[in-house]
Amino acid sequence: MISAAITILWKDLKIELRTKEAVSAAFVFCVLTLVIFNFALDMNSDEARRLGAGFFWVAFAFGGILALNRSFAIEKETGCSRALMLAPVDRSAIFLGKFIANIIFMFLIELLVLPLFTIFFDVPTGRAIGTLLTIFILGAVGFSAVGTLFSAVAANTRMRELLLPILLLPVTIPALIAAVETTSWALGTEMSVSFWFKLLIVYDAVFATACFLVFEYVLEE
Amino acid sequence: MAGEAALSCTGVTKRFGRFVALSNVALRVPASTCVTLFGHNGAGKSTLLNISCGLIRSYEGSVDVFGVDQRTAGDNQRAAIGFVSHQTFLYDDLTARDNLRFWARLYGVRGPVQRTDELLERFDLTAKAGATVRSLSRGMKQRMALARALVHQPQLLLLDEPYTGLDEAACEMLSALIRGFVGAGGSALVTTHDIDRGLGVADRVSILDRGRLVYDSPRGNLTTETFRQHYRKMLSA
Repeated sequence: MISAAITILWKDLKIELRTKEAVSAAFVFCVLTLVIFNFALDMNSDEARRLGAGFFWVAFAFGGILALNRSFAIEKETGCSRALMLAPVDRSAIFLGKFIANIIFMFLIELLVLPLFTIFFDVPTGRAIGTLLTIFILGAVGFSAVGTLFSAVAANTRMRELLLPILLLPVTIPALIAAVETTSWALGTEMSVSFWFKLLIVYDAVFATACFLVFEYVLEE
Repeated sequence: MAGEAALSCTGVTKRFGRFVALSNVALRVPASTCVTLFGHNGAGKSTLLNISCGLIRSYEGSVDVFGVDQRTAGDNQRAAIGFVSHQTFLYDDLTARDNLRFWARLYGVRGPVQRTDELLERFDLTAKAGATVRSLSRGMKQRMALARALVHQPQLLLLDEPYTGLDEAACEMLSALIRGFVGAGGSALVTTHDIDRGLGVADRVSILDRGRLVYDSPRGNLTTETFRQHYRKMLSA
């Protein structure tokens, strides 16, 4: 299973390296969102720091959906999702490969947006870079686990672009709130945050496992 | 596996809600033979193929591939089957070489690099190995699709309307490949509504009409014209 997952991961990375569709579309969307927040809300420095984490994760959530939509769209385009089903591999390996690829893409989007976020909202990200990267990874894991599963569900419907956000956002609210709270703490605007860190870790563990287990039933016709 | 059918469908019935796509279909593909299944659009040919290769698992009846029930078959059993569709099952943004290597690795083929080069040469695609699939012509894409289906050396080839959209030369190449595959000991089930092409590769011919198998006979000396008459008679009954 691991070998099959790595093969699928490698394929997704190669396609994204060549096309840059998922990450670039998500990045542009995130930047536009942050620009709009920055200019629409006339905030002083303290307000920007206090609210900035929320804006970052809102931008990430909507940009991430664009990237996740692509995850199974590329499989549907030329029937490759059926071909993957025909391959003699555990279908959970398909989830695992795409899940890891999506974590990488989500993390990359977060890294690309971070410098602009720092500039727009004048937040001290440099001091807390290690903590922020940890939060980014935890956020990417939870978002990608649920996003990979629902991307497969939505890809089989005509309303793929509409269905994915409708399915994904409600389920990822706990992870997004936890990511916002922990990011605010890392930026020095929250006092206590151990509950939110624990929530994020538990969310990642529970949903990554659950999505891994149910994925093969999602793929079946 | 000597004497065992490559594919054996018994009493296969498939419903989509109230619509009956297949009704009590019994079809057998003996080892080392090619069966061509004819039928109009919507007759149930693709549904039967999807059930045969395990893509659809909820149906009545039984489907065995080399004696193994497809419903309970393990992951490894799928390696016995190669599937060719009118969709290419290839990634447009990967090169021809990368596509074949990917599928070779996924199927656990030993020496995926060598196997890829061998197939590119066999299907006269070496010159296009570094080109993305998106840039290939329809005929080249179909050759790539065949190469992909054969990368793991399956024993049973299922071809769903493979002649769709191909020019004369590509059709001839495809037919030659199917005959070569069967001649080398493989088994094939081809669905098509192209009577000339379908008869050209068949050892046995069947007709599916509105989910029912209405004709099933060895090819023998059946001429195209005689079969056309059978076909019209069966479908107007």
